[in-house]
Amino acid sequence: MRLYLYCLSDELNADELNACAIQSVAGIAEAVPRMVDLGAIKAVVSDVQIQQVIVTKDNVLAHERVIDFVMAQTTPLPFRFGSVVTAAELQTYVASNEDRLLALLDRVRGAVEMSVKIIWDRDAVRSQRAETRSEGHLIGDHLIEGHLINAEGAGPGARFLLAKRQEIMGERDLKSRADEIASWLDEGLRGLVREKVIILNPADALVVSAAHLVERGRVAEYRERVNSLGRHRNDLRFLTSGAWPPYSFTRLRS
Amino acid sequence: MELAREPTSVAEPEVETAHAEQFINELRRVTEALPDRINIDAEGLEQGLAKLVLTLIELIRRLLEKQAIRRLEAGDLSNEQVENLGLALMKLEQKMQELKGQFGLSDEDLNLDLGPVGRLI
Repeated sequence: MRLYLYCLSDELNADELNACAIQSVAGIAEAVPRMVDLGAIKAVVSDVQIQQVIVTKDNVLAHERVIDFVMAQTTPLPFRFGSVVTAAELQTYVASNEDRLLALLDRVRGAVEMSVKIIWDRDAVRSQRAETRSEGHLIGDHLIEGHLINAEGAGPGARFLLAKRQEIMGERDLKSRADEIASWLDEGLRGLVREKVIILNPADALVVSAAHLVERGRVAEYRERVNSLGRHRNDLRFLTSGAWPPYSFTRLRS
Repeated sequence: MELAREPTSVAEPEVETAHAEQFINELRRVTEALPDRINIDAEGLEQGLAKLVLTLIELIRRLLEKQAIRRLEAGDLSNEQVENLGLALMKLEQKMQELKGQFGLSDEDLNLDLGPVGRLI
């Protein structure tokens, strides 16, 4: 017998939780979730007969359903989908990481994860930037002074390098624009966000993926603020989602 | 210990966007780009290893290009050195294209998604 792990918490009462509605929440393979008391930390688990849980829509929804049930009461540390261990392994993991886990629980206490994703028109950004650079600047005065007069006069090797330089300058421009968008979002959400994790992908259409840790009582204000910011940027497309368990701020591994 | 009672309304996830289709397509593209597990059959293994090795070579090749551009910008290369360096990097790029073609790999295949760290290249 092995345990499928959903989440950890230090605010759940085992007797109360097991006795009430969590038993009506179907976990992985329809198993009834239960709580394991590990001292200061409790784990929400269900029994499984297998070593590996396959990624299916039903299984993923079951994982989220159980964590959402706990989320309705307190903010837990969610395990990633598919964490299966023995009871002894769980006990060892929690005992040897207790201080760190309690610190993580303090970090996310009373908060939820909200997400903002931003799509931009990368090709439009790239051509705007290219237009602002003159041909002379593209070749680079400091670059060719004393060596190459212009690209046409250069050999194939030098022309290859000049073309690569233009490509790299384009990438730098995109990175700089992506940084500007991230800073603008940061500034716009100032005071509303406890912590953030930002992933920038200047090479992709999905340029910003931001996860924010937001107080439970300020989620509506957060949504309104993001909507308001979006109304001022017709060049960008926004997707806001949440509240989610704080996956981006915990990263538990079984 | 008492069960903590916090507001429950925020626990219902909501998704808001005026451009659902575009986000779905983009997220699907990102998800599909995630590396598959290596299939342990002869052909799959060869393809997986080729992808891994070529990814590393591609990363080094791009670093060499960037280093060459930095030296170019610093102005410490003669015309001859610029030409030779450019030709060497051009041939390396051509060779990589050949190898990718032989193993049926595209540029996107070599740009591994490293999750929170972002893309490799």
